[in-house]
Amino acid sequence: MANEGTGWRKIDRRQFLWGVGAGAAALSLAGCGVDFSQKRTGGQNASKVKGDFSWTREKGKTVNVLFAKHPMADSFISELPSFKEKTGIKVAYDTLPEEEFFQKLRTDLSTGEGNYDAFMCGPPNNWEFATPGWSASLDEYIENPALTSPDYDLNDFYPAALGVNRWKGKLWAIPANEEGYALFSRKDVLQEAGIEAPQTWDELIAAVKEVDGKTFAGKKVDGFVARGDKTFPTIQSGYSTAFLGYGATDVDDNGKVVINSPEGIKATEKWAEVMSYAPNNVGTFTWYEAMNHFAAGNAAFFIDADHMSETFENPEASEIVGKVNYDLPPEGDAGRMGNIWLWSLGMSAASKNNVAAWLFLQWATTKEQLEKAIPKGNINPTRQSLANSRTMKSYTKDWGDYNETWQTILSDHAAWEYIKSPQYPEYGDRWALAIQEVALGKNSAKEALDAAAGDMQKILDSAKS
Amino acid sequence: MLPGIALLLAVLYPFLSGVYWSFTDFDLALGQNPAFNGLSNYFDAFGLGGEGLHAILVTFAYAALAVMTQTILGFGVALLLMREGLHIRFFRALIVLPLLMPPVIATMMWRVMMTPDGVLNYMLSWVHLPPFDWLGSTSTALFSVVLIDTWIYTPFVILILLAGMQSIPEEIHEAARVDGATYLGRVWNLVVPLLRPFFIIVIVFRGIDSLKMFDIIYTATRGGPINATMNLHVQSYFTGIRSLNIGYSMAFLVVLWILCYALAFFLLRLRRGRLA
Repeated sequence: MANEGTGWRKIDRRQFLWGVGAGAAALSLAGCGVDFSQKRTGGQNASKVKGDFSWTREKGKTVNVLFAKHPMADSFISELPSFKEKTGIKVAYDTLPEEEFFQKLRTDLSTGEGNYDAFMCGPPNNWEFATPGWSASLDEYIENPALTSPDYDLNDFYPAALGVNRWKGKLWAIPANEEGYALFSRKDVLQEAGIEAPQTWDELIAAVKEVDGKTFAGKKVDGFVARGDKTFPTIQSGYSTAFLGYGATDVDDNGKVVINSPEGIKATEKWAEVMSYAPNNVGTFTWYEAMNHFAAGNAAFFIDADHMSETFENPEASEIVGKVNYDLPPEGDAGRMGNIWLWSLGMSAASKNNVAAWLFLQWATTKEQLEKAIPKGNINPTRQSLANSRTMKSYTKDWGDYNETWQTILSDHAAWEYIKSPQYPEYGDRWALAIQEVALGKNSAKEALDAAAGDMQKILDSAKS
Repeated sequence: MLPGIALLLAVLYPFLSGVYWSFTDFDLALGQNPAFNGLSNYFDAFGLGGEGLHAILVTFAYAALAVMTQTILGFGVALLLMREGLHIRFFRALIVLPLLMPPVIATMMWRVMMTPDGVLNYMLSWVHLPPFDWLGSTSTALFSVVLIDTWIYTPFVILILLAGMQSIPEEIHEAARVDGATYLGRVWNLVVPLLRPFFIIVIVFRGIDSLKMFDIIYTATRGGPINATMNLHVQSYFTGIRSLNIGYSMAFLVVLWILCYALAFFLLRLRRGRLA
């Protein structure tokens, strides 16, 4: 029917809505043709930059950096004026709590906008960001004498730390902060209970049983505490010391998930046994809750990041100053072993200021800067030359054996032993869920690991298809 | 008309993109273009062995518990606040305070209170009750999270029902009193039927909000322990934002949207029918 006034066809509400809906659907489908596999292109081609090395090569540029809230980030941020003075490059940065940090970083990288030229990252991000081409490999920068200072000395970094950030033959980030996994115990509790510091998993279980629920220094203590949250950091921190210490492996040479091997099951049973002496709500504990529980004097034993010593020895944050033993992870059937975590600095493949961003990464990880960062809480250092530096020794002088223990862990007992896959967060979360089921007594180690292994295999296979 | 079309497109475009992605293998971590994979995500998520059926169950259980508790509690408190007096005015002002607090902050506060050595267990010890495992056990976590939701959102129910009660003319109460109706009789036979449209508003708003609850559950338990509080929304967050598996995540969200839409459609139709 034509409208008499305008001559237009009259449409009713229903027709209008259908029309707009169809239009939007067509647009959506057209929009879904966006190319998510496109290669990011940034600024200059790093291998083609010529000339002598100069810190002021990119003078006048601005580098945008995204940091997670961490002592490492704080230590770099406090030194930014000296970076500007040295290079003429301005650094604009955002600092966010870890959870929000990862969300924002993933969003920025996935859109290819390149709002951030450089960013902090953890080990799984190497494979997660490299696979879709979001992060830039750093080899061509390091190998180009025009871009890297002759005294940078990449070989000074711990091989285990560089090894984590190397994947498919390329280096994806520079390590700037390291953690291995240590057994913490309370000296006063051990002394009062008359027990020796445990060396093996069985000795640890016996000691935990012995002290659990008893009162020490006026507080009833839990025998043990660790992360129990059902996300992947749980399986790569305390649990990894049992899993790897008993000689288990997550994926065999044929690409099959084998966490449910006899070694894996045995390790998980041992882990569940110590975790049964942890507080009831341990299933909600991330590193933060577990660390504070121990620092408040509420637990006798704890396995987690060795550099938590920083909190335990800080009188403003701890009730156990001077009372902590820093030991190697307990020994299993295959020896002492644990995973490793790093905070590193990486670069976006979409960065328009890639050379300036590289100069920032390089400056932040020079020996000089990493040494300046130690008294600001950025431990453990990732350069071997700093481990026994006067700065590190003086910073840890009141922490008992700490400075020897972390070095022994890093050089002899720590490595990234799990699969390096872009699907790692999903894969690790599924594994952590199984560990929580066992630790909370809801499932046997065998059943939980069998079910998880099947799901984890599907997750890995989906990346191949 | 053009602004209207633009607005509708702005709403529908992202929505329909999301629906389309739920039929693809879109995984940001793999850096490949999404390919249409039919109903694979739905079969994987909601078939046997998928996380979807459990998540639907938790979503319904959470919403039903939250809405029932808050409606009954809100109705009772609103009745008390209908009385007159200076102290009642004070309580009316006080009761909205939880609503003004960001849910994440309120939940963090409750999380601290719910630790084994927290203030709630300390209060239980006053009456010689053993400590309660609020958020740490699979059998209690859902109730504890609903308790937090109830603390935050019952004031919303109270405000709506109080407004409804105040709109009932005093003459109707007067007439009932003259006919010899008791207080409870008036509440049951007069107030409850007259408040029916207000109850429907409360159930629609609180029901939809509870079905798509994210912030309280994520802050309190991250869907745990194990998967005891893993509803559709938190599940989709884990698969989409944490694991970057967007296609699979969208399948959860589309089902969640259908549930919310169905609830609103059914209840609003009921309300229209009653009013007509």
